[in-house]
Amino acid sequence: MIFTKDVPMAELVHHNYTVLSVLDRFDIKLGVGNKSIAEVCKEYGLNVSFFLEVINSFLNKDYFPEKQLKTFSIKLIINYLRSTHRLYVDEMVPQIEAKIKTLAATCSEELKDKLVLLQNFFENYRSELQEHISHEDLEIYPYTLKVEEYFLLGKASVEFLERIKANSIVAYSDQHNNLDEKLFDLKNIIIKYLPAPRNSKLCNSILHDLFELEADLKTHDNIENRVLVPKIKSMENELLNWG
Amino acid sequence: MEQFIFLIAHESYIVRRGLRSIILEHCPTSSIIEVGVHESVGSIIKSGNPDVILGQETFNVDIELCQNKYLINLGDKSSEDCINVFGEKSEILSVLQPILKELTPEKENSKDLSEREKDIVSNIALGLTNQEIAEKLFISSHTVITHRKNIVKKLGIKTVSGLTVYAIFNNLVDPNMVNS
Repeated sequence: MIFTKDVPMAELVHHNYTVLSVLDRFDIKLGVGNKSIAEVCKEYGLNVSFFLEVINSFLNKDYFPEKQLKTFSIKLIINYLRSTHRLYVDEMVPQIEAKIKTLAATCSEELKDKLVLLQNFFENYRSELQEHISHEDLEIYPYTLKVEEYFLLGKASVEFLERIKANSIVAYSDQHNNLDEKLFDLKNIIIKYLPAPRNSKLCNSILHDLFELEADLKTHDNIENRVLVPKIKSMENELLNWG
Repeated sequence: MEQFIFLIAHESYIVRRGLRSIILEHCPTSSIIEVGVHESVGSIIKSGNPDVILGQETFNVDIELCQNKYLINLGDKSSEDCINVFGEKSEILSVLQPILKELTPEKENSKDLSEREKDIVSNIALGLTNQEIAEKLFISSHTVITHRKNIVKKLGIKTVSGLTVYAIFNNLVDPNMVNS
């Protein structure tokens, strides 16, 4: 089901409660009454079309409206990407970490070593993810905002043009990290190779969180690779042409 | 695939044919000897040396001849060693299949790692590069890479750290020998 602006916000949540994490990113609070999506967006000063594209992509794995997403400003996209980062770093990852810690604390003696190993594996993943996110927040995103700023002005400074030539967005997007592989491996190890822990409900809950994190990261990566990078790339080219 | 020999001793042609077809369905490479006449059964067992004898009671198969063979009776009731010839296919199979399973040796489970593959995983866990593993095991690095691809396919684990966890979980490597 594709959602449109006149649908009540409540209906959206009823349809699939997992959108709550997306609403959170836009700082939308519950108690939405009968208001339509359009009305809520207006109240929060949000771009309705952008909100709808994000929601629909989130809910439908096959729906990724590259074209429409490219019509939005870099500022809008970056704001969204930044709040997704905060969600990962402040909530989703710590939650998984805490659950693994509890699992390790409450398991039987024979499993202790294995769960500590798993804890280390996740810690390793967490710090790599943190590094990746920090790099984006502190280097890449500010750069993209500057590109848009100059683009709207119609020209860029000489230093900035040099910067584009030396370190364009394409160079960044070519960097391969195996974060998604690590996450996949972790899931697989828990599903296939971890001997059954006493607290299997907790174990399932951890897996559930891992699957959610993975899906969310995928959408996030899609927005970066299929929307942000091509947009910036074309702006860079224009700036170089004008320069 | 192993060739097993079944001997079916029953007065009824239809029963013999029916059993033959069920056996061939499940063990296509087996040989089937049919005996319909009581007198011949002893000598046929001696000459044919079947692995499994399915015999109607009236044939009075000599137990002595059945050393190291499976003897299944053919009657009108099912049990662990008796097939009900009036039963449906599933009933007949419930007696036959356990025996067929015992006959067929355990095929190498292609879903589990081979010994060589386990060697490779433990060396990956120890932090060796493909080249180092190749030199250590006296194989080419191309072979190491092929093994790694198969390992990834079998286990579904791609990263070095993931394989290290797997190796420790399955006691393929001493945890103290692994860095971090």
